[in-house]
Amino acid sequence: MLTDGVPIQDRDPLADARVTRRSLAVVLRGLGATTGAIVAGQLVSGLTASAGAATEDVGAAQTAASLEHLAIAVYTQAAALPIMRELPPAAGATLASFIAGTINHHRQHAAAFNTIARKLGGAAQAGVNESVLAAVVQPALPSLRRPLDVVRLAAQIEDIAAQTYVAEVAAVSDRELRNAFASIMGVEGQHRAALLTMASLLAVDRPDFLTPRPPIDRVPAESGHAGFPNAFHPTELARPSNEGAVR
Amino acid sequence: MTQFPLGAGELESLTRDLDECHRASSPAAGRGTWSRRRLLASAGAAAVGTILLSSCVTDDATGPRPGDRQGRRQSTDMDVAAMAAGLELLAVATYQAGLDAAATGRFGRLPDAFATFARTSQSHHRDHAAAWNALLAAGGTDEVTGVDLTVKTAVVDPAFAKVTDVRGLAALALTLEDMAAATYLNAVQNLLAGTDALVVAASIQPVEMQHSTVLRLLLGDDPAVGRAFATTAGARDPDDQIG
Repeated sequence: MLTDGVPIQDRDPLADARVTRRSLAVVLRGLGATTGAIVAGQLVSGLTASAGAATEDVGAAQTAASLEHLAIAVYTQAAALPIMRELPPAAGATLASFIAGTINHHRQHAAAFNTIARKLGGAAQAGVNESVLAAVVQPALPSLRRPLDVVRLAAQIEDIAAQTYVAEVAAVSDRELRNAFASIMGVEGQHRAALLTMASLLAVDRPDFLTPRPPIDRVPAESGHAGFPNAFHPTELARPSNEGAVR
Repeated sequence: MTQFPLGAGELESLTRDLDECHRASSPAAGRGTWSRRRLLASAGAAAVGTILLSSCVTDDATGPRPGDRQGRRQSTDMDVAAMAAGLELLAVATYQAGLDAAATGRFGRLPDAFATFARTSQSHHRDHAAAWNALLAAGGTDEVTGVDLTVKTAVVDPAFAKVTDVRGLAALALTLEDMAAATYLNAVQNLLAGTDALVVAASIQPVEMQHSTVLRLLLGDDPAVGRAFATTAGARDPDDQIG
């Protein structure tokens, strides 16, 4: 076990021959240099593919760790915002419990990604994703006026992480890293689903339903599906693989 | 960021087209035929692309032969696709059975939130089945129209017979959603080899987990409770009987 719940599978004998889009691109770049040296090109490209894919996998793992650290930072600061005290005590306790549990998840995710980054020869990423911080979080800060705004921002951060990991499952070459993305992407999706459901209740001014046992007969219809807006998880918001790489 | 050949939006659109085609009556047959052709052309192109590109790393210039790596890969992915389609269609049928039974008053009044949940989730599962069937069709394999009989017989039928209220119905739905999520995780981690199948499975697995989360919220579970890493516990494998 790498860390709690992340299985380390036995090495797949097919994994080395697996064609991911990233390794493929490297192979094609190598082959495309000249049509007159196909055999030599294949040999060179094979070597280039291995090295290039490993480097890009390190970057992908570090980027993932940077997203996890950003999520931890956002949740931590959000929980301390004075506006969060506007919630009724029961709803505040529910949200605080959710935030604490989610921060714990993200800490484990960051540790998992950093462990893999080191195994692949890279350094651990200890910082937050500066690009998402600058493009998404900082612009949103002035508009955080209600708990609903905070919940929506957290859902956005979870969505970015989930979309990134869904995209990386088919992009990375390292099997252990792929398995980590696979076992984490759905958890981030769950966080987002819970947050979107909470947001749907806050949006109709029903914070009193933010309790562990809401009165199901009175929960608005919209809350029944607000947590899963897509039949297929999108990847349009996925961050570039090397965005959070350690420089 | 590497882009998928079929983006999530396009995947939704294409599978919706396929689903419409399946349900099309003669007045809509023209559009349905076009949609189906477009879907199969896209999926087929992706499959052909994968095969062509895979040849870049095949160490035998004569290409794949029965029983070699390539042959086993395709077979495994198609088996997973068929099993996944059957599991999705079982979920569609189970939600329909639940909604039908609720309409008779068997469970008392169906809460609005649960009705919305069930209808939207059912729609998602229908789209998921269509996506797997598109892959099967692109691979030259018969599409799946039946359900996962192994799960139906062993899990759904006995449980559904005992359901007396909405909570029981939600618990059964939760079983299926958790099973589907675990199945896709296992497929991604241990079974699938082709990128197209990986993309489909990866785009569905988090959605099944989202269904599960909302069900747990409706059932009154604490939203903070949950694992940091998804597990494969309860995953189905391609040996399930589909029919």
